[in-house]
Amino acid sequence: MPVGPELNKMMRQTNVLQCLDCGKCTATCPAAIARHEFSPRRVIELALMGPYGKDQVELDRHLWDCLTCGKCTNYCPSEVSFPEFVRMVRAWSADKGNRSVINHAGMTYHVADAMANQELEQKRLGWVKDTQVSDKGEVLFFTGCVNYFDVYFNSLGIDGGANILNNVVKIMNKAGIVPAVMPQEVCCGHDQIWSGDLETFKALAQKNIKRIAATGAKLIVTACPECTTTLKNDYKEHLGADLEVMHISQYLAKLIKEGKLELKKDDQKVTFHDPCRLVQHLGFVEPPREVIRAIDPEGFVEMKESGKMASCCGTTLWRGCDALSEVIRHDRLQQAQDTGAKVLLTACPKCQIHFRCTLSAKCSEGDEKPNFVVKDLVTYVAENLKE
Amino acid sequence: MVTKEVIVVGGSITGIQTAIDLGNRGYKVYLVEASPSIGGRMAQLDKTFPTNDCSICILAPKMIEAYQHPNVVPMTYSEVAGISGTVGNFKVKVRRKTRYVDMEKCTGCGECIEKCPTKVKNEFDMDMGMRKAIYVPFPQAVPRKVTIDPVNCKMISKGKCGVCKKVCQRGAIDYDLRDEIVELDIGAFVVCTGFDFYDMAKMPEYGYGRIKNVVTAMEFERLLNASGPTMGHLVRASDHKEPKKIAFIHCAGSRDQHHIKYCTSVCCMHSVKEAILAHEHDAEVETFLFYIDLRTAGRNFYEYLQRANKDYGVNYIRSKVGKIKEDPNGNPVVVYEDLKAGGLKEMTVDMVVLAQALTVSKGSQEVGKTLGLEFDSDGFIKIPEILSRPMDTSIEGILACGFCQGPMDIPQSVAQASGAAARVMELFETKKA
Repeated sequence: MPVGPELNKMMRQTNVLQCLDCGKCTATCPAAIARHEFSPRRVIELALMGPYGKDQVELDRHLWDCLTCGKCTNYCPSEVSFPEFVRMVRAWSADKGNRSVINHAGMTYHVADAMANQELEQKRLGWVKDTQVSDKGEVLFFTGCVNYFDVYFNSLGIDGGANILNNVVKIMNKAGIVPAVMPQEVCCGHDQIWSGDLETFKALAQKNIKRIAATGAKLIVTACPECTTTLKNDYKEHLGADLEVMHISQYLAKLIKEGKLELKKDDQKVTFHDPCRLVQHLGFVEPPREVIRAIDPEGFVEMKESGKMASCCGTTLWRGCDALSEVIRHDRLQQAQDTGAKVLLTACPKCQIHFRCTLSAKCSEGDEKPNFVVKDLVTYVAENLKE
Repeated sequence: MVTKEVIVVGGSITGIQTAIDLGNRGYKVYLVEASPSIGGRMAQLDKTFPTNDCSICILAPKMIEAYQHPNVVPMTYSEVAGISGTVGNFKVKVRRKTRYVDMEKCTGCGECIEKCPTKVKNEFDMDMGMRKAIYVPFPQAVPRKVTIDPVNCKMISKGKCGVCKKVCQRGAIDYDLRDEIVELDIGAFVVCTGFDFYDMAKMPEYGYGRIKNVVTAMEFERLLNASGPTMGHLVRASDHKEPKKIAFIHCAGSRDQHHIKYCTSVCCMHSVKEAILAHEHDAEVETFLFYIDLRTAGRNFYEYLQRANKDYGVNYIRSKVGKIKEDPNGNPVVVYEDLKAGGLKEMTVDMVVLAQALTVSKGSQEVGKTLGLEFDSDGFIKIPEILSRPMDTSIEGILACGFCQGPMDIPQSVAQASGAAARVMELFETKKA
């Protein structure tokens, strides 16, 4: 934990000094539902008291309990950017070796490190199947790392990255667009910047910015909300790159509004889980709903907590996933079950993987077998394209 | 020449006080009120803090005094439609909306109300009870004359019905009446157009509208009131049972960067008051006030807060509620952080009362725009020199007092009302032509 003027600066930048000590953050925090000792308010209180001795230990531990979903900020009367504060402190303490447990043997971090620091020739476009892509164009499809996730999570029976990516292009082709894609695109650096590893983040971002410029793209579309916020907000803040970025849900809503997509009607009951980056960080509540309603105006049902009220999927950054993360997901999945929906849609590949994992592991005894499937919004749209 | 006549817009306690003060001094006052009766928000309140006086008992005599004052021309159900001129010589257009009722003939007997077949939500009871399409807004309304609500009246909107006209023995109902515009020459203008409520649908975390037993403070006030929708019987909406455990949530929308940024000033006190009143209705009730700070800065306010705890057992919990859930029995479940012991807590209660943020009224903004007044960053009517001329707006000869210029309670509003009246007198008595 930083001290003195350095800490004060972080607190000023993130509105922490405006904290009213009211606890509304904790009462809305998904992590606090599961981790009873975790309280964003308490973390701020400890930071304000000055990190000494025992407090220091408590602080360092809670630093990684935060899922950085940003729900607290959206409900905080003082608009304290708690996730930003956590991010700054993580960046500071990363130098001191303060890191949390990385899941999946750190595979995603190793891949990102390799992309950042070495010039390995990637076979990044292996998923392109019966679709048209280009290396230059007005619209760039930034694919993100979902196809790498397939390697690790295919056994879960996920709606795979390769499938999602190819579906994005299939939909774009239908609308008469041949998107540019980058064979040597690298990871956007989302997990790195939120883990406090600014160095790797910057190395990745610099490569991407240069390669994006080479495509001549005016608009970047991503199928992952983490890529969207990172390219849109963090590339600007840390590297001054002013990119026009859209999440696929926004882009699809736009295509539908312009009448460029012909869709079949479906009356299956579907519900939607709001990914934290999409709803809390970017504030996009309506775009995915507009897309779903274009296909299924009757059957779309909201979960009890939706939009900005929704909790996140329970794990971020492929870090610190444990039984308590499952508690958050169980709550979310139960809400989906309660709607009676046959399909739980989401618009973030990570949410989808996390939900599938929890469903396949059947974590607690006596769980009702869910009668819905988890699917990416893109796949849902691709399935309902008119031939 | 200065025209020594005044328009007071807003028939609230503030407007009433201004009108009486000016009338007593001998000036002619046009008291313009948009709704069918004068009285304003104070008429809706059950009791007032910090004395627990019956609100309407204080207000009603003043309403009648203003209405019957020889120098006051009451113009209810009327709106300011335009203004020209400058200080001392304004020309003001007032739209006198038609009630479809001949005011000379109507005695307020209520025969028509009884027979009217159309029931609509009663806005005076915060949409909880019902009224008819021909109505007197509340029992103590001044004037006690009926008004036809043209949107809901089947005769006005569809040309089918006519029951009220048939039953009125005085022949007071006339569906052919139309709005009239009157032009007035006046020398000064006083705006007292008060507040509205912040829309609680913008705070979905508190479940208002979704959870039946979550109500706003003004709704609770009406439930406490003997002339309210439950005749003063404090019951909750879901099952009409008496609530035994009530949570009050302070700052529901106020002091919040996402909603109303400012403190609305009266909510701590009215929450304490409503908790006390709940105890007076039912000695067995338990009350919990969830607050960020208890802002009770006023004469005898802090003592009131302490008395609520000492004499009635009102509990104060320092924590801002994060969300409200509903259990299968319709009980609201309040989720909050225990700031002392740590950890998330849930409290199941019978009823939740939201101290809903108060905003500048739509009427204030409309009148302000018509008059060409400036507004401050929160939408209130701007007072450029708050220290030296606390009621003077950006236009000379136009004064603003009460909640339309910023959050304040009844005594402050009344003090400003008398202040504004004094400023008008000063203008009339010193201004050279």
